[in-house]
Amino acid sequence: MQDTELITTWPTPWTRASLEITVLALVCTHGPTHGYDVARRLRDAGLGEVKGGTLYPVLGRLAEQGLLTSGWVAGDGGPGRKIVTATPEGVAELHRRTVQWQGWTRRVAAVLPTDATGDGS
Amino acid sequence: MRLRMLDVPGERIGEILAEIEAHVAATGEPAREAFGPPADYAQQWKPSVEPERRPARRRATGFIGHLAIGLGISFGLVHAAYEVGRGVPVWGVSGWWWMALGLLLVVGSAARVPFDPIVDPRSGQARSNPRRVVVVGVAAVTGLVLAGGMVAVGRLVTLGI
Repeated sequence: MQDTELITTWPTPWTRASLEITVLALVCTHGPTHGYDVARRLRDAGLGEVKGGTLYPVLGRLAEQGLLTSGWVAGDGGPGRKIVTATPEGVAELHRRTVQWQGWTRRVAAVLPTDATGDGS
Repeated sequence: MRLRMLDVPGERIGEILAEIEAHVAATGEPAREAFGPPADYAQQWKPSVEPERRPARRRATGFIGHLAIGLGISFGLVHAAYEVGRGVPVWGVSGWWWMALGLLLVVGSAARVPFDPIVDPRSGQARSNPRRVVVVGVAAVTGLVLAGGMVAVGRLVTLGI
């Protein structure tokens, strides 16, 4: 199986499970940023096309948890854009979740057969 | 409308609408394509914690109280309109004064209903003024009903019925 084929066919439960942590990571790394920039970076990272209808509620939940803050800036004749920034709590939470996530994926990988090919990386 | 039904606060609704407008303007993607059907998208914003409500008994008592007051005022207004149509004073005072008082009570009650306006976060302005719409609407409907009632009673009196 080709990489490109794999990239467009990530199982939905996987993308759902990883969306919050990847969005938080992108905002921590590239913020202050805005929603469609996050969506573009997710796509460029090979994590698939994330629609606004999925992405904005995730950003909203992260803001509700106090991990992101947001503000509006005027656009060039347009309706303006919402800029999101990670809070210190967001950065600390990203570190905590990253450690957990890596521990989880290591354990999953340890269970999987080692002779499989085409890991999508 | 759907967000309102899900008890999403007005300020949050304003934020959600502004996000959609900004996204559509920046990407050129149609809103339905990017966000899916409005009802499904609204469902994603359903508050995880139900807003605190008054106990059921207090809500029921409040509702019955408001209903009784509303019925009393309505009856008074209809009675006053009927007597104006007949040209007979009510308790020695012209029915017009009673109607004016009733209308004032109805409009005053409508103006006191608490509203949670939808605020556009970019301008800080409310997207619409629901209080003004409700007050003008209630005043217009009440006025029309009373005027219609008086005309009808006047006709009946003229016909000697």
